[in-house]
This record gives sequence, C-alpha cells and structure tokens, in this order.
Amino acid sequence: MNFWITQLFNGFSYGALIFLLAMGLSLIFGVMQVINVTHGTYFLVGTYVGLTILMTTGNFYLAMLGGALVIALVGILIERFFLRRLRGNDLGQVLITFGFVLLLQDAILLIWGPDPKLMAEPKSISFTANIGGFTFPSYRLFVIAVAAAVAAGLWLFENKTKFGSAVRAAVDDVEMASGMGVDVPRVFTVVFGLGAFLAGLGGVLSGPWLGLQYGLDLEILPYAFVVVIVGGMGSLKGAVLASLIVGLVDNFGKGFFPEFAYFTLFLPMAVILAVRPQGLFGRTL
Amino acid sequence: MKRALVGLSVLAAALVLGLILAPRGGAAEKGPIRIGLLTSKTGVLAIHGAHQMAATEAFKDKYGTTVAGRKVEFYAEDDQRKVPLGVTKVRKLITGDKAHIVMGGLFASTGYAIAPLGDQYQTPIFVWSCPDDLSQRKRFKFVVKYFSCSQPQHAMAHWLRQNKPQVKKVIIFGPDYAFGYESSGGFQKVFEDMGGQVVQKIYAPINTVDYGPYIGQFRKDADGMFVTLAGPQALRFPKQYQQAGLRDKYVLVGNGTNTDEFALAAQGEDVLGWITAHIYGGAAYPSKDNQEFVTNFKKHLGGKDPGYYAEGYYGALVLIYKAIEAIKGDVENKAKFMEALGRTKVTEGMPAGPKVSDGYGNLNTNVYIRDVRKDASGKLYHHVLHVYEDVTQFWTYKPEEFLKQPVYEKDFPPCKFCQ
Amino acid sequence: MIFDPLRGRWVTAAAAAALVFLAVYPWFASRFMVTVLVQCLIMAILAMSLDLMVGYTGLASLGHAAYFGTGAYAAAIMSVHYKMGFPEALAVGLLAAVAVTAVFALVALRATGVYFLMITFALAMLVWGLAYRWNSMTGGENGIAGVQRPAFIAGTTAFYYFVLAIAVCVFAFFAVLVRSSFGRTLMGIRESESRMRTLGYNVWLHKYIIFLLSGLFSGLSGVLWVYYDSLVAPPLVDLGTSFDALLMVSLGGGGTLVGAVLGALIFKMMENLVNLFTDRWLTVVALVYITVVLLAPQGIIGLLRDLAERREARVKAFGAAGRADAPARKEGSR
Repeated sequence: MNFWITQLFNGFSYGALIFLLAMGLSLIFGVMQVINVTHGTYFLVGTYVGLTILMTTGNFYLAMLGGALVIALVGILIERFFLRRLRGNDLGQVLITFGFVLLLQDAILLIWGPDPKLMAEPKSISFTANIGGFTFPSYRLFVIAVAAAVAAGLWLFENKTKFGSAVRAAVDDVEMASGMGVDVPRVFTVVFGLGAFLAGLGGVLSGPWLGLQYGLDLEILPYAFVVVIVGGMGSLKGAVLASLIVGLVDNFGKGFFPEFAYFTLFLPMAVILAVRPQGLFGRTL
Repeated sequence: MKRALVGLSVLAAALVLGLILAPRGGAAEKGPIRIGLLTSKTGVLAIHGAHQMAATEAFKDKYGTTVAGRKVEFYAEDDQRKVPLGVTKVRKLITGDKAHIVMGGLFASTGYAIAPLGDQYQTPIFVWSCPDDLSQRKRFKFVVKYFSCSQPQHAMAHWLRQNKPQVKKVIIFGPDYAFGYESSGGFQKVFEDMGGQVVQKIYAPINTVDYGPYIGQFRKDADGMFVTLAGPQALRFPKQYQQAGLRDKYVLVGNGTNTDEFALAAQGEDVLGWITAHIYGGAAYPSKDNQEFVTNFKKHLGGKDPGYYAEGYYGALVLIYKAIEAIKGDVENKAKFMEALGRTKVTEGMPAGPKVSDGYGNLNTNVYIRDVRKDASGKLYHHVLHVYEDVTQFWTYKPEEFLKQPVYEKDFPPCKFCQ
Repeated sequence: MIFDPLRGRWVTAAAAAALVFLAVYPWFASRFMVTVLVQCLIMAILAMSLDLMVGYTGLASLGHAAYFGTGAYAAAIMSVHYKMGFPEALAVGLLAAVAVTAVFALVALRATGVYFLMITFALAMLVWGLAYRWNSMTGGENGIAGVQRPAFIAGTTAFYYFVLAIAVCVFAFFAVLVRSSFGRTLMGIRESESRMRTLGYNVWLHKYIIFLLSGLFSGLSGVLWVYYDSLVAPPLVDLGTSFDALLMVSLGGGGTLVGAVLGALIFKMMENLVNLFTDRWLTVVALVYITVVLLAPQGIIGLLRDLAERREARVKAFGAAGRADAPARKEGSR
C-alpha cells in the first residue's frame, strides 16, 4: 500500500515537471508545425540562468521568473531571425533546431563550465510533508502546484482571451486563421516565446530536484516528445493527461520491468501512433 | 549565395589542410615519445575531462616533458563520453598520431571496448578506469590498468562488518553497467562471506533523471545501503534520497565516486556523513605527496580540489614515465615497453600512496575509507577513517580460487537473500 | 543547353578520376587516413539510402539511426552471442533491418510532411530504448564488443577495398534505380503526390518499397560499421546519428547520389579532423548545421548548379537571347 501511494505521488510529481517542458513543445508543434529539438536545451539553459539569478539575488521565485523570461527572449530571437525565414521548410527547421542544441550546449560549457551544480530550494518549501502517515517531499508538492497553476493559466488564456482564441484557431488551421484576420506572424512569435518561457520555468524548477548537469537536455527531451505524441500536438488537455500517464508509466515501468524501462515508456506511444496518429486529443491529420 | 560559396570554400580549404596535417609526427624514427590521452571534454562527463587535463598539467609541472633523455608529446582526444567514439579516438591516437602508448578511458565500459585495440595494434594501452576482467579472466597482452572496480569495495564491506556489525541487511543500488555490477559484486562477496546479507539489488541507468521510482522500492526491513553512483548520478541521487526523508533510515556506505571532489561542493549537506571507499584519500588527506599534488592541481583549475578522477590520471602518468625510464626511453620496442609497464612499482611522490604492479596487469594500492565532513569554513571534505594498505584486486582470496568464479555481473554473486 | 554539374562528358571523366583516386588511396595515405575513409564510405551508404527517401521521394525521415542500428545490433549479437560467421551475421543483420523497417514504415507512412518527421523520430526512440535498456541482449550501456572480422578482410587495407567495392556497387545500383521508371515515379511523387495518384500510380506502394530499400541499405551500412568498429553501443543508435545522416544528405545536396556521398565524406572528415584546429567542435558542427540550412538549402551540388546557371545566364545575356525555360529548383517540401 505504502509502495503504491509513494509511487503514485512520484509519478504524479514527475509528470508535473514533464508537463512544463512538454506543453511548450506541443504548442509550438501544434501552431507552427516546428519540431523544436532545442526545447530540452532551453530547459537546461533556463536552469543555469536561474542559478545565476539565485546566486545574485538570493530569491528563488525571482530566479524562476527571470530564468523563464531570459529563455523566452532566446526563443523569440531564434524564431524571429531563423525559423521564420524557413517557414514551410520542415526539414530545414528541424535541422537548424538541432544546430542550436549543439550551439547552446557549447555555450553552457563556455559560460558556466562543466562542473555539476546544485540549486538550493527556498527554506520555506524544504521539508518532508507528513500526510496521513505517508511522507512526501514538499518540493515535489510545490512543483505540482506550479504545474497546476500553469495549466489553469493556459486554460484561461486559451478560452477567455481574444489572443488565446487566435492561438487556438491557429492550432486548428493556420491558413483559415490567417484568412479570418489573425496576425499569424505575431501568433507564432508569441507562441514560440510562451513555449520557451515554460521550458525555462520548468528548467529552473528542476534545479533543486535534478541538479544542474550538462547533458540533461537530451536525457529529458524524449519524455517531452512522448507527451506531445500521446497527448496530441497543441492540445492542453492532451498534454496534461499525457504528462501524468508518462510520469506514472515511467515510475511503475521502472519498478516492474526494469529491463524495458524505456520500452514501457515508448510502447504506449507507438501504439497510439499506430491506432490514433493525431494523439489522444489532437486534431485529425 | 556568394557568402555561402566563400564559406564552403573556406571549409574545403580547412579540410585539405587537415588532410595534409593529419599524419602528425611519425616520420622521424626516433622523434619524441608520444603519449595519447583519452578523456571526455564534452558530453555528460565533461567535468572529468577538465579535471584530467588539469591533472596532466600538474603532472607536467612536476615531472617535465622530457623523460629518459627524450622529449614527450601529449595528444589529448575527447570521446564525448560515448563508448564507440572512444574506440574511434584510440584508433586515431595509435594510427594517426602514432602514439607509443594510450592512456585513459573514463568508464569501465570504455575500458572493455578499447582494450582489444592494444593487441590489435601491438601498442600498450593503460586503461585508466577499472574494468575488473581486463586484469582477471580477459587479459590482453598489451593492456594494463589502474585498479579494479571491486578492489576498494571488498575493503568497504570488510570495514562495515568490523565497525558497524549492527548493519546486517543491506540494499545495493548502482548504475546499470559494468562499473555498477563490479563495485556492488565486490562488496556483496566480502559482505556475505563475513555473515552479512544483501537483501535487494537495484540497478538504474546512468542517465536516470528521476530516482523516485527506485527510491520508492527500497525495502523497509533493511538497515544499510551500499550505493554506487556514476557521473551525473552523483548529483541527482543524493538530493532525491534526502528529499525522500531517508537520510537517517539506513546506514549508507558506498563507492568513492559518490562524493568525489568534482561533485562534492555542489552536493552540499545532502552527503554529509556519507561513508565511501576509494583508492584516493581525497584532496584533504594530509600526506606530503598529496598536498603537493593538490596545490599544483589547483593552479590549473581555478583553485578547485582534485578528486580521484584527477589523481588517477596523474598517477597513471607517473607510472608511464617510470616504465619509460626503466627501458631507457626505448618505447619503439613495444614488447619491452609493455613488459616494463607490467612490473612498475612507485612508492614516492604518489598522491594516493604506493602503487605496485601485481603481475596480472593491475596495481596493488591503498584503499581509503572516508566520510564526508564539514570544516570550520563550511566547506565539505573527506576525512579518512581508515587506510587498508597494499590491497590486491583479489582481496584476501587466493588468485587461483578467485579467478575460478565468474566476473562480478548483474546476477553474480546471486542474490540469495532477496526472497 | 545549360551547364549542369551532374551531366556531360566531364562527369564521366571526374567519376573515373575519383575511382582511380579511391583505388590507389591506401598506397599513399596513412593507416589512420584509410580508416577515416572507411568511415566515410560506410556513412556514404547510409546517406545514399536516406537520400532515396528524402531527396528523391520527399519523405524526410528523422529516424534512420533505427535501421542502421538494428542492422548493427543484430549482426553484433549474432557474431558475439551466437558465434556466427560474417555471411550469416550479415544476413541476419539485413533481415532484421528490413523487418523493423517493414513494421515502422506501415505506421509512419500514414502521415506526411512534418508529421512524418515526428513519427519516424519517435519510432527510432523505441529502438534506442531497447538498445539502451535490454541488457541481457544488447549489453545496455556497455554495448557489445568483440566483433571480429573474417580473415580475408581483417587488415585495414583489405577491409577498405571490401567496403569500397560494396559502396561502388550500392552507388551503381541506386543510380540505375533512380533513372528507372520506378525512380521517375518517385520523383513524381515528390513533386505532387495527388497528381501521381490521379495518374493511377499506387503512391503508397511506391513509398513503402522505397522505405524498405532504404531500410535494407541502412542496415547494410550498420553491419559494415560493426565490422569496422568491432563494437556497437547505444550512442550509435541515438538521435544524433539520425540527425547527422540527414545533415550529410543536406550538406551534399538532396536528390543527388553524388551529393549524399560528398556530404558523408565532408562530414566524417570534419568530425575526425576538426579537433586539430579547435576544442570547440560542438560550435563548429552547430555552425555547419545552421549555415547549410540557411545558405545552402540545396547543398554543395545545388550551389554548383546555381553558379553554373548564373554563368550561363551571363553568356546568354551577351548574346541578347533570353532563356525562357530556366528550370526552377524546388524549395522545401510543404
């Protein structure tokens, strides 16, 4: 019983972290049809930027915001000056995002060096919560709370704001949205910036949990891709659900089938691809 | 378009230049002695590359770049922590740079992969890492190595039984490849031979991001843990272990890599009190030779402390120089060079104490049992609790007997007490 | 007639010169440079196989590491675990690659464009996951070491000629294939799938067959790689390999076999030699990716073509004769 509750909670919290990474990837894919391989690297660079801010200001929440904003800016610049010139060239776009993976990785080595680093969580959320006889690391609870707030915020943005409905229209059909008077280039820039923002936010949040280690970007990226494929590209509902599935499958898969740990993760994805290529909540292809 | 063409022609010119320059050296028969170094300057383990290059500089400071009257040139290659690339790079060092010896290989798996090249090219390879079997059942004529992964962990088990006899049931946790299996196997063998029980064995892939799923499985009825962490694991696991509230639940012992100096500053309080066994006493170990090394090393890495990744690289280079001196610089006679490498013995100037060849291609060495403490300034350091001197890779077993059992593997020794 | 770098008498001469150069290469090159060229040739087979899909059919696959890796792993497992000889291991490697391709292609061909990229990418992760975690079979992180070449190709030079012969045969076969009516149909599909369908072609079947062929020859290059390197480990199957293969095609110029070969040659040379000049190889490779995509989307062959066309146009301008039928190069695939 204890095992199940602990594992459920672990899976849930890991899913929450993955959600922050995957949501942006999903939005970018859904709206712009760009496979942004750099996304994991945004996440990691965000962690490093967050660390630098934390060391200068001593405020973790400021680090979260600052890290996310810096990465949003990086994303917007890349979108504006590179991806936009390649619109319609799927292959070129995906190749160039991989180029930026390598470039940013080298930038990390140059700026922050290869030493592993750890970020301290704020004292106020550094304890072990005891609920009904079970112990939960409070930091994971905090991550769940942030992810839930982000999901709620996105839902409000998509459903209650004018710009949000433009984004949703773009997910459904860019041409049609353009015909209806949506400023598509601006939607693209905002969506890319938003996606990068979420990756940066997730990155800073991961600092006190996963540590800062060069190479984490490509280790965590597959998880995000599984979420995007399972949940459906561009779908908020899909990303939330798929993140939880991925977190739980990863947890229980590692427990029960250690030899096939990644296989148990990728298999549901392959099955979904085979029977429902647009994902659980994606628009039809 | 024009710019692109210019760019491409520059690229092409660089390639042609590369082709011309590629077969460096090689021409003169008795030119300098060329030592090839394999490390990881990029990739997940880039930090080890930085430490090992700084150790190489510290070595050059002390021992110079002339040995037995001949100049020495160093060629460093980056394997990006990818095993296949390591093989490619060793091949390049031997056939392209015409290295007389290649030293390196960060991972036990890299060691296993590059070892056959020694015999293939009849060129000595000093495997810096610790794959057990290269000096046990799968020996190569042209390969020696620095230590065996299980070597310090035999001692760890002995120390645990002697000093904390109340710890009887232990969980093993380690990375899912040769280094994890061999470290854990060595511990299990001695621990169970001395009456302890290993009740659970869990191996996680080295690139595991979230350890929650593994930590959740730890058996509650155990009273101790033997942990091996490799590379990025050393950072992520301790934090998540601490956050899971297990700090005081188990007596935790483990591999020296868990708290190596490369990570120690970043790990912080999470590893305070962790006990580990290794072939190096740590940067704070007060021996004269060690302190000299540490001072030298710090000059080359912005004042950072060296750990075993640095010490091992440095020590291996000392041994190589020693062997070159023994054959009066005649490294072209590779069989003779190899033979000298196989019987080196260095007692002075080594940061981690004497190293003596055991005749199987491995070194007898000191094993240090250390725990992590905090000094007055708040900095973490290793305090040495006990030194086992002149430990062989066979522990106290007879080599012939020891070699009859298979190499430590995922399922060997079998987990008799796992239910 | 405009000048095309891929047509005309001089091409025959250049091809002959290249062949002679390759044939005598080991006489003057160091052993190291011979092994580098072996790498180039093996990767050229992979790049050409991928080009059949990307360049000729317009199917951008982002997961060719899977087929390359399946061939490599299957051959290594057969050779090391089951002590099979080279011919048997080769056969199993090719079969395994084709089998995996046959299944993956069924799934992937349901999508087009960017979704096709995404799905091939995702499927390749499946193979990587197995390679990385199925320890008892693949050795996990350790990989599988100890693949031995048979005696007749044990030496570096002998193996070089062996690989060279295979690469030349593959090139010749592909060259015939893309000039056949089958090949022309593929290019028709690339330009307009719907038109080909209206014309009564079974588009899906053509795509499926070329996918299978591509997988088969990617598997072949994987098997050769294992016998070159004597070991296989997960990094060989990861997304980096898939991306590098695509870069090789783009660098040389998609839709031309020579381009794929050129791309493989330049990329592998660069990978081996760039660290003579700088420690920042990551940045160098990154810049190649970015430069190729932005400035030379049709690769080196495309640049040569443009150059030739421009010169031709200048010549024509002198004669005051306009050229109405300048062939437009296609941009992108959407």
